[in-house]
Amino acid sequence: MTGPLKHPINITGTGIVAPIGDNASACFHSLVHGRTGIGRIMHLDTVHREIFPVGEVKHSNASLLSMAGLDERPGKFYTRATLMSVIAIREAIAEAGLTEDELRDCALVSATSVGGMDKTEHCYRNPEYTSLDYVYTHPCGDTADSICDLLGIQGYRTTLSTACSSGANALMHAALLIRNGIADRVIAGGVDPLCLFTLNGFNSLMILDKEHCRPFDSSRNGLNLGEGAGFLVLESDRSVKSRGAKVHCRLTGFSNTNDAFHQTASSPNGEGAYLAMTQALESAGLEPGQIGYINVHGTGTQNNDLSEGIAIRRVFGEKVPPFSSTKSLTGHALGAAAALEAVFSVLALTNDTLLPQIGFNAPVEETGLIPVTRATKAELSHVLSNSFGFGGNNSTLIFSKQDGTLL
Amino acid sequence: MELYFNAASAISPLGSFEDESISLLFPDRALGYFVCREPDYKNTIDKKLLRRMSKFIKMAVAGSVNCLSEAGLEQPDAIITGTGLGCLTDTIDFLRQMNENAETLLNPTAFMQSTHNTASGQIALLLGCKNLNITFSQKNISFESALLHTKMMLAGDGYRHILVGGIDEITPESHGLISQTACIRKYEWENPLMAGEGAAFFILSNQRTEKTLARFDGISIFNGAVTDSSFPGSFSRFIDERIPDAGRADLLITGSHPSDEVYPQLSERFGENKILRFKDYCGEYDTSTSFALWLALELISGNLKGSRVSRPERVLIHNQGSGPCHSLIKVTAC
Repeated sequence: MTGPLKHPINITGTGIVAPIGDNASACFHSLVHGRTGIGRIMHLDTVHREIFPVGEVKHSNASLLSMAGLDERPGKFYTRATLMSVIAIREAIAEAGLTEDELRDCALVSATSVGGMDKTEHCYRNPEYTSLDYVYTHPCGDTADSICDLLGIQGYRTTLSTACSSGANALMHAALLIRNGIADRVIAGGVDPLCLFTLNGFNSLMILDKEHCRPFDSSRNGLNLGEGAGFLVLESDRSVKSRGAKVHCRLTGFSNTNDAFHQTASSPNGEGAYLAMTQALESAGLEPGQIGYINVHGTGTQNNDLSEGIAIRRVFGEKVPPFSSTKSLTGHALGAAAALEAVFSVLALTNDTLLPQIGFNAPVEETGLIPVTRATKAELSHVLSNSFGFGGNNSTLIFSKQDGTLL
Repeated sequence: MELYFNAASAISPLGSFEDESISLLFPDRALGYFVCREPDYKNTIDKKLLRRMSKFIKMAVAGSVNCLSEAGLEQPDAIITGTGLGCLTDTIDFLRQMNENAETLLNPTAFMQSTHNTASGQIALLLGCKNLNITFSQKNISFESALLHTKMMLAGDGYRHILVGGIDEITPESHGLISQTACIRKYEWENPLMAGEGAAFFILSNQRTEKTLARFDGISIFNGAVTDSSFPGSFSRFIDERIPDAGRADLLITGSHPSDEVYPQLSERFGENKILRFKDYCGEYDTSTSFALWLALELISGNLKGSRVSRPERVLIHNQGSGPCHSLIKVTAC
């Protein structure tokens, strides 16, 4: 099943705040040098501080506030999600060269799993804190509304919340808005802050590694949480032509399927992931052999990496393209993960570079898959990115060079 | 492409799909907020599964199962939901555990069931449905976003029947917090706005069948703040620009209250006797538009008792709520 009319979805800007850098070029530098953003918890106030390493964005909220050019006053209360988003979107719109007028008419499609939970849990456990501001910032949709207010975006805005695949589904919704002529320009991506809720949640599921995570390694023992915001500017051909914008690449394939196996675990045969990848290839009109690099979901849990590996084998057989899990450097940013990795995929594609991962020693026995461990130059036409989540969600995106696509 | 609502199923303070007939009467206001009159879930959900499910998940799963059976469908081509606040019971439960146990020895069940897509995931799991499955959460346009996505999917290849719904639950704790804020607009009125909850599911299809309830004429979501400044005093004209013929509806079902800025214009345009204020029946909650849509389809089908409007042909639904956005949906008898 594919989307309607295949009008091209052009990518004209990217912006990111991640544990490995405050913008796209800083992130690319960290990626190619295998420089990790995972380490001891600095900003999150938790009893687990000395136990679990995380991929924290290296700034306090006060520092993010000043990076976002904002100041907090009574009645103005920003969550970490809003701050990171504003910084990332400013970068994306600057790169795309959107004017204030053009920005006003943009649609915003955001994604998050917990939204303003960092403020909620802080107020919840500090009864002396009597302000109810957090009741306003708690809803997932409040981040999108706040971003629009702060950046002067007056168009349609919405938020996808499908756990760890949220960011990918935001890009799909954005693509459909363009293909259906509902919007010509969409800022789409995702954000999630580190918070006690998710740290304790994943700890209760016993899938947090006390060491640095080792995706697709036989010794893998869980994930490290991460955080961040990633946003892309998507435009129709009409919009690109009318303002003479430079197109970096295109979003050519996308698919969302459900594993229908378990609320939080992936199926042993990777059925949902297999369907997501095959349908995304079909929607882009591509054969598996045309994919030059896969940015895998690769959380580092026993379950995900085995299931995803089996699904990759089912799709690509013996000819699995070079792949890596950038979560080995960033940690797993949940609702933002797919958006961060969409930015990384665009960086890989436009720089013709296979991104490496760290923490790999020996392949998973059942699949024998060996990830990229050194940054390597390679001529890339199409890059595939996987994101899976609770609720059986499986999403795949495909990014292609403008001249490398038949669509 | 013409689209049709081929089934609708709701659980609301008025009653549920299990009731033989539902009357359009003001629900009991004694609690200070509206709660759903829930069905006997044992009739639709396995008892073993039921034990772990919050009200949110139960309402969503039972509503979906019933909706699919009304449409005579085993599996939809996609499952698309909207929720403003998600699984509040499980979220609050996990927050409480975290505080009480100082972040140690936590039971993961509440966390696993706390994500906003738990309902759509559980429906897929129950049906073994591997098709597209997504959840929107954008305050008062969460359901509208889901409906817009559904409409866009149906314009593509291979999609015929999509399950789309809106769910929000209220808990005593969430009500306690919300009632202290301006999240519920406060008015001096004979029926002041109260918080509420509900679940409503629909089969939207690009095929008309003998079960078709009404034609779907369109949906529009727009920023109310912009409307006020760009179209001063002309909200009712704006409506026609967004959906053709919207102003010619025989019935306007609105979530606005007489004290809202746009209400006088709506009243002037449609006349009080053609306006139904749906929040008097379900309360204020983010996905209440899904209740309003169910109400529209029931009225068109002549299934509701006690309504002063009998079998309208063209119904316009308007809502505004916790966010800056308004929405319009139009359905027509066919």
